[in-house]
Amino acid sequence: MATRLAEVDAVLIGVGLVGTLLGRELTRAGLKVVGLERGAARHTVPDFQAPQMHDELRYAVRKALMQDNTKETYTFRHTVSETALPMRRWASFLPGTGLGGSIVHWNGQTFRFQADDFQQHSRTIERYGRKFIPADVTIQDWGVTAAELEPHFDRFEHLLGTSGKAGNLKGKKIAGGNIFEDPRSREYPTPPQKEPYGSAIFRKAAEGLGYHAYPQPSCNLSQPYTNPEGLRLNTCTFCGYCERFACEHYAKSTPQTVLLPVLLKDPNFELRTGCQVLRVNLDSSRTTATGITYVDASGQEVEQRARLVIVGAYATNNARLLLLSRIGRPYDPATGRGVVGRNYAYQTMSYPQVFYDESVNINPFMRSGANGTVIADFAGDNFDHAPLGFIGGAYIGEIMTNGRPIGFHPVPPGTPSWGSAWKQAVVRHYNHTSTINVHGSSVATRQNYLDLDPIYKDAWGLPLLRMTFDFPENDIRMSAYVTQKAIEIGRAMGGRQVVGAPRKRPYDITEYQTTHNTGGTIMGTDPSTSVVNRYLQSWDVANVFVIGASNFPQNASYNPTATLGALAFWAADAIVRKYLKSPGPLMSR
Amino acid sequence: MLATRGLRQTPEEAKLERLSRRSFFKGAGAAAAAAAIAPGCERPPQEVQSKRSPYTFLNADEAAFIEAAVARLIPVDETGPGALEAGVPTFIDRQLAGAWGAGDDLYRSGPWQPGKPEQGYQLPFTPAELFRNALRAIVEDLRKANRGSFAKLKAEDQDAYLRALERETRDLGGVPSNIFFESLLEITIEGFFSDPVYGGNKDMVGWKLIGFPGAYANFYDFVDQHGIAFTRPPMSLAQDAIGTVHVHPVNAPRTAPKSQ
Amino acid sequence: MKAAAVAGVIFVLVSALLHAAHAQFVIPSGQVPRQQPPAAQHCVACHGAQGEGNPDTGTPRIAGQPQYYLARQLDSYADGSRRHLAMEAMAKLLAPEDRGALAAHYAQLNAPAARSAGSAPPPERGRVLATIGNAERRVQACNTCHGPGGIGEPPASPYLAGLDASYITAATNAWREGTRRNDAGQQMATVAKAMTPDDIAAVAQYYASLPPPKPWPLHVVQPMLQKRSMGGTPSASGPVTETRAKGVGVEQGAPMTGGTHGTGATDASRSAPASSSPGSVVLHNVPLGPGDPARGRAIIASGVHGCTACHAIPGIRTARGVVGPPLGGFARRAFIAGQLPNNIGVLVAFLQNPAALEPRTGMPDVGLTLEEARHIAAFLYTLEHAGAP
Repeated sequence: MATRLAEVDAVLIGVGLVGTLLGRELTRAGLKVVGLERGAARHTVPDFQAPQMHDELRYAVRKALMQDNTKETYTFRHTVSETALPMRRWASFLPGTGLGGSIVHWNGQTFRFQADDFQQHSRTIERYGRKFIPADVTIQDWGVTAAELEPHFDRFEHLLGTSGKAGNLKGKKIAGGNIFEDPRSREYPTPPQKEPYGSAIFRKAAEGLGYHAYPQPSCNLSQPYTNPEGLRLNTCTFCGYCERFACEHYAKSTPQTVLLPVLLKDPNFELRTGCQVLRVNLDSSRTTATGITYVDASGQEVEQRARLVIVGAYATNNARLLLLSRIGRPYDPATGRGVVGRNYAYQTMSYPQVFYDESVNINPFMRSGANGTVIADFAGDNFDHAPLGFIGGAYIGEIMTNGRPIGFHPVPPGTPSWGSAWKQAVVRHYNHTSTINVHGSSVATRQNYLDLDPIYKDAWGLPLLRMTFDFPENDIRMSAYVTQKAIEIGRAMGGRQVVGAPRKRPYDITEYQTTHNTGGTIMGTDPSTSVVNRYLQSWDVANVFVIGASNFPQNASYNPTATLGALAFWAADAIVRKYLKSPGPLMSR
Repeated sequence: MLATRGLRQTPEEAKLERLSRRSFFKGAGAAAAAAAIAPGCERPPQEVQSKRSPYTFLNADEAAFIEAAVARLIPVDETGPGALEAGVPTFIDRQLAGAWGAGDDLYRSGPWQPGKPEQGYQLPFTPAELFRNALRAIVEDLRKANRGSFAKLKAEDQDAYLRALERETRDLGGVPSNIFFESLLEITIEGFFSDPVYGGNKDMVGWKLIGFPGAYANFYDFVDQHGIAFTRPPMSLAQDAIGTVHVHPVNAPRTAPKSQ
Repeated sequence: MKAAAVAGVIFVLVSALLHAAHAQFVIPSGQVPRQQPPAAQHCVACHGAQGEGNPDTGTPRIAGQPQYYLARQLDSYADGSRRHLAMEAMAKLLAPEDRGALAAHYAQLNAPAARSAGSAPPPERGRVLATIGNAERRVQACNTCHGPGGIGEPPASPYLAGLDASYITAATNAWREGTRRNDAGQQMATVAKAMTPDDIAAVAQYYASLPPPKPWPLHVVQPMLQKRSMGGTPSASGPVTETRAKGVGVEQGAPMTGGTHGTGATDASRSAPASSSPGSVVLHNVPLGPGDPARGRAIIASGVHGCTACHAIPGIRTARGVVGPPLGGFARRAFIAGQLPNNIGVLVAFLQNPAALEPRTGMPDVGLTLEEARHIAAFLYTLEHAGAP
C-alpha cells in the first residue's frame, strides 16, 4: 500500500542538470518543489576529491559514477526483425545517476546548435529540394529558432562560466572564434583555455588548408569565475581525469559547482535521494497528472501528489517514463504512427590518428575534457551538400582529453594485440600520437526508435527501454566524406603515419562513442509528429513538461548539453511567465 | 618559460638516462623496479616474485596458468618489466575475488540468448564464473592432450596456445575461447596500468614504461609548454608521504593463518 | 613584513657576510656541503648552509623543493609577481643562469627540518582541510595539488610538509592579499581567499607537524628534444601528401609554444622583469671577494666622485655634506636608502646604479666601476660608529 503524501506545487523527476535548473527557476517563482533523485546525494567535498577521484580503473573502466546495470539497463537491437538483448554492461554510452546527474562526469564541451539545425527540415528543402531528404529520414523542425533560444544559451553559458571565444558578436564575425555560429549577444564569460600541443599542431594544419580553427568552448574553466548565483569556480588544472570523473577542483561546471548549493538552501526546495520514480500518475481523464509514484530507498512505495510534473531524467529515461506512464501514443515503426519513442538518434563518430616521430612529445595526460581546437567548416549545413548526396556534417578537432593508459595506448594498424611487439609499440607511440575527433550529426529515421521491451525487466519489475537503432545510410555517407577531410588535416599535421576509417555499420554497443542519445520525446508544432510542444509541454497532459535531449527531433553535429540547457531555461521561462499564470495547454493542438 | 637553464641536460643525456633506466630493468624484475621509486622511500628493494601476497580466489592450477599467460601477454623485455613482474596475477585474483568478479554492475537477469557481437556480452556468467569455468576447461584440455600444465610449455608453445584461444570459439565450460581470451587480455592490461592500490602495476612499472604521471596531476603550468619532456616519477593515489603504496586490504585468506 | 624581523635578518646577514668578507665561508663542522654554485653565498645567510631555513626570521626551508618551483620563485621575485624586500633585491642581482644553478642546487639538498616534526599533535581541522577540503567554503583538499602528506607535486607544486607554520601562514596570506601573484592560473589566490584565518592557521600547523620529504629528482621538465633532422627545412603550412613519411615528423612552422589562443588566465601578475629596465646591474658570476677598505677610503677622499659633497663621513675631514645622510655607523644600519636590505651584494649594486634599485633615492649615478664600488663598500662596512665628523 503506497504512502500518499500531500500535494506540492511541483515535482522533479531527476535532479541532474534539468532538475537543478528547473528547481531553481520554480522555487524562485515561489513554488514548493520536491526533487526526486534515484541515486545518492554527492558533493564536491568530500565525494569528488583527489587523489581518490583520479582512479582510472574505478571511474573510467568500472564506471563507478554511472547507472547501475544490475538494477536497470536498456535492451538493444539493430532492426525490428531482431530480438533485443540487454546491455549487460555499458560501453557505447554511459548514463549517469546520482545528484547532479550525468553532467557531473561530462567533458564540458559546450557548443550551441546553429540556426540550420533547429530548422533542418525546412532549410534542407529550401536549399536542396525535397527529394534531397532520403525517404526513410524523418528530420523535423524543432518549433523554436536559434534567435529565440539565444538569450537562454547566453544565460546558460554565464551560469556555467563557459570558456571560449565568440565568432559572431551581434552579427559581426570575429576571426579566431567559430565564424559559422549564429550571432551571440555577448562574449563568453571567460576566455578560452590554454591550447595543448597536439591541438596547436591541428590548428596550424587546418588553417594551412584554409579552414577556420577556433578553441573548443569549454566548461573546464580557464580562470576563476563567480557566476550570477554568487558561486565561484576555480581554474582547471588539466589533470586529464575529466569525462567519467567528477572534478575535485571546482573547475568543471556541474550542478554542484554552479547552482546546487544555492538551491539546496532554499526552503522551498526539498531533495529526496534514493527515490526511483516508477511512473507519472494521471487522473481518470488521463489529461491531468496528479503526481508521481516512486519507491524510496527503503523499498517503500510512495505517491507524491503534485500540481506540476517536470520529467527531467536522462534523455532516454524520459521516453521510458512516458511509456510506462502511458502519456502520449507510443510510436509504431510499422505504421509510422504514434510519437513517444519516435526519432531516436545518436552521434556519428570517427577517430583518425596521427603517429608522430618520437621527438614530438604530445603529453596526452596534460589535458582537460573540453580543451583543444576544432573546425566547424564541415559541421551541419556549413558547406554545400548539393554535390554530395547526404545531409548533416561533423565538427573536426584535436581535442584529446586524457592519457589514461588502460584506455589510451594507441598503436598503428598491424601491431599485434599482445606480446613484446605490442608492448614496444605502446612504448613507442604512447606519448607521440594525436587522435582527431570527427563528431558527426545523426538524422532521425523511421526505423530508429525507442519502446518498452517485451521480455526484460528492471529490478522493480518494469519493462526495460528497448532501443532499435543502426546508423542510417545518410550518416554513413556523411561520415565517409568528413572523415576523409579529417584525414587530410591529419596528413598536414606532420606525423609519420595517419590512419583513419569512417563510421561503418553495424552499430556496435561494445565500443564507446558518445553519451549523446537524443529523441524519443521530441518537440514540435504538430502533435501528430511530436510528444511535446515548442514549450516542452506534453501535448496530452498539460501539467507535464518533458525536458532534455529527448526533445531533439534529430541530433546535430555538436554536443547536446548547451542546447538542452538553453531549452531548459526556455521551458522554465514559459512555465513561470505563462503556464503558472494560466495553467493549461500553451499551444492548441 | 622554464627556469631549468644552468644545469639543463642535453637531449642526448636525457635520452641516455631513459635508456639506461630501461635496461636496468632487464631481467631484474621486481627487485630493480623497486629501486626507481618515489622520493623519500628508503625501504629495501622488494623481494622477488616468490613472496607475493596469497591468492584468495585462484587455486593453484588457475594461478599457474594466469601467471604464465600474463607473462606472455605483456612480457618482460628490453623495454622493462612485464605483467608478471608488475603483479598482474595478484590484481586479477583480487578483482575476481571482489565485487566486480561477483557481478557488480552486470545485468544478470535472463533469459540468456546468443546475440550478435555488437549486442555485447550475453553469457550468464559473472567474471568470476567465467574465469573459473574457462580455466578449469583449459587445465583439463591440456591434461587430456598430455601437454602437462601451461606453465611448463615453452614460450613459443604458450604463445601458440594463446593465439588459438584468441582466434577460435572453442567451448571452455560454456565460455567461447575467444571471449575468455578477450577477458583475460583486458584484465591483464587493466592490471598492468591501473593504480598500484589494486595490486598490479607494482611500483608503477607500467606507468614508468610509458611516462604516465599517475594520480597526482596538476598540469596547468605545462599544457602550453609544447613538447617538453615530462619525467616526474609517477605517483599513486594510495601512496603515503614516503612513497609506500597502501594496497586495498586483502580478503580473509581461505587457509588458516600460520600463527594458529 | 615585520620590521623587527627584517632588521634581525639583516643583522644576521650582515654579520655573516662581514665574516665572509674576511675569510672563506665556514661550514659548521660535520656537514659536508655539496659543491655550491658561487651565487649561493647570497642565500646561505638566511636560508642556512643546507637550505634548512630559519623559522625565527620567517625564512623557509628550501632544501629539496622542486627545481622548477625554486627557479620560478626567483624569476617571480625578479619580475615583481612575488614580493619580498630582500628576495627581490637578491633575485634582481642574479643572472638567469645563476637562478637556474641555485634552483638545481637547493633542489638536491636534504636538510633536517628546522623544527622537530610531531612536537604537538596538530588540530584535526588542519588534517581535514588538507586531505578532504571544506564544502561550505568550496575549498578542495590541499593534497590534491601538494601531494600525499604535502610532499609536493613537482614540477610546479612545492612541498608544504615540514615547513614552518608561520611561513605557510605568511605565504597563504600573501596569496590572499595579492602580494604574491605568481600563480598564472590564480588557483592559489582563489583557494586562499576562500580560507578563513583559522583555516589557514590550522592547515599551517598540520603541515608543519609533518616530516619534510627527501629531494625530488632534477630535470623533471625538459624543453622539447631537438628533432633529428634529415635535412631540408620544415615544410610550410600545407598538406603533406605522403601518409607514411620516411623521415622525421615535420612541424608546421614555429613556434608552437603557447598557442595563439587561450593563454588561460589574464595574467596581470607578469609585470616587466626588472632586469630589462635600463641601467640595471647584474653581477655575472663575479665572486664578491672582499674589497679593500683603504682603497675605498682613498676613492671617497679624492672627491673625484663627489661623495664628500653630499655625505658626512667619519675619518674623512673633507666629507661634511648634508645633502645625503651621514654615513657614520653605516655598518650597523638595517637599510640602504631607507628601503633596501643592507648587505654587500645590494650595496655594491646600489653604488653602481642607485635609481635602478631604489627609484626614489636622491643619490645620483656617479659612474663607479664595479671595482670601485667593491672597495667603497668594504670601507663603509668599517664604519661601526657614528663617530665625529
